[in-house]
Amino acid sequence: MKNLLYLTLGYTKFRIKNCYIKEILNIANLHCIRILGLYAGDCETVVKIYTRDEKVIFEKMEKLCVNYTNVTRYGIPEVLKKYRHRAGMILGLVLFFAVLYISPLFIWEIKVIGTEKLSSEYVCDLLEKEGVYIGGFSPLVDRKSLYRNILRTSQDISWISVNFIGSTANVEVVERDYTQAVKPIADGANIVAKKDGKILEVDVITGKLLANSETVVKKGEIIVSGIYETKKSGTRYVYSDAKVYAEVCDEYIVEIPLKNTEKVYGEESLAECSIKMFGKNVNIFKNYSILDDNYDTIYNNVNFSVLHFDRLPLSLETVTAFPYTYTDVQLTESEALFRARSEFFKILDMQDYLDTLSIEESITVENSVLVLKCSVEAVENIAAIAEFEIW
Amino acid sequence: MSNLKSVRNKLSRSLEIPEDGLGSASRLQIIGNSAILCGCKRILKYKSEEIVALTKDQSIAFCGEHLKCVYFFEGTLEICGEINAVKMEKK
Repeated sequence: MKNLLYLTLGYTKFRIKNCYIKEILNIANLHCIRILGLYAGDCETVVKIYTRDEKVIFEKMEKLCVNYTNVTRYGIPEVLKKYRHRAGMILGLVLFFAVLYISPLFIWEIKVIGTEKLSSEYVCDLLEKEGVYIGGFSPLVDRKSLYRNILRTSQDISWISVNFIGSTANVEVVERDYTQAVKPIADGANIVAKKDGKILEVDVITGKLLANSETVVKKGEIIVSGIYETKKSGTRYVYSDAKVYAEVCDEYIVEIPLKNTEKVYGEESLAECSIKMFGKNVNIFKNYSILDDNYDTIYNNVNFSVLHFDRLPLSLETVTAFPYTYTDVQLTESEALFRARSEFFKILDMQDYLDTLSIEESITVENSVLVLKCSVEAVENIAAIAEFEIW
Repeated sequence: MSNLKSVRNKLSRSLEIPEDGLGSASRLQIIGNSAILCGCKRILKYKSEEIVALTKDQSIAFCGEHLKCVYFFEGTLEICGEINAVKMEKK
């Protein structure tokens, strides 16, 4: 901390012979000059004082014929004095840091995500009325009133969020889903089996149970009925709801050809490079020898940030191209079997089985194609709703 | 002057406060390897074996080895080193 203070105020070091230390100390005490340090050597001593005091102390030393040498000045005042004619450079530095600090406060890019039917322009028009536009000052945006006003104005938006990250306004929109509107309910519904199976358990919420446990049902058979017949109130119709857990047996076939054509990627190369600043693209480099055929591309966007400043309106966009060629590949049976099993397990994961009881595999190779047939016994909810109308 | 001195002496005794708190009496503190002298006017001799300081009414000599002045500002002098003896001589 002390050194920081000395550097801020500026200090001077000079050398005197050891025999003159007494004179220096007396001069300093008499004129209220603080000596910051005395570093004694064999013949000479280095004296450290504030630069503001050097004029007084040098005058007194000259009067007393005390010789001093190697006067060196340090600190910020010395640097400012050295570069006093370079005001432009200092102004440039000040402007640079000012721009660095101020530019992220303005909106230079608006990214809208979540729109499917609505256009980004429509969302941007709505945002413009609330102060979110290119060049807008982000601290002035009142987010609560923005959300309230947009949701009142637009019936097509059910939720909106605006987040400012640096100079980018990230807008997330959830559109109103009209398909979820209440459908007219039929007079009643039965629960039928959506596939063949042996019933293990039925969890009836509404309806009349027609099939018990251990019953084998076929696809389409009614398990829970929506028709109640009573002597007192006659026939009553309900919308049945139930879960029917049954043991089912499904078959899956996966075919993997042993002779295959696959993509083999070569060495990547830079296809395009551009800088995006304040929403505008400036192209730096483009490799015109890279054609769209036989190349896969990856787009990368890197935002710049300096020190603790959050994301400047400056980003580097690069496109990396990967050339590929198609080559014939001959798989061994074990490689093909490995791929077939991977495919099968992916298909199995997509099913809604509660529990997989057993899996039986059979492998054949026909006409250079490995065929994996799997027979799966599992427990599944086979309930399907079958509505009916009363005429 | 001597009247003023005796008045200060009497006042400090009656109020039970140290004399240097009222006037320009010098104060010497020796803590470990350093000595602090308040009320020093100037340094008469500066050597690594002996440093002699002048106060208002006496001179104080610090004798020892590797003596050096680490602070001298507004009448307060601090000396570090192996202090073997302190001699006081009234003017």
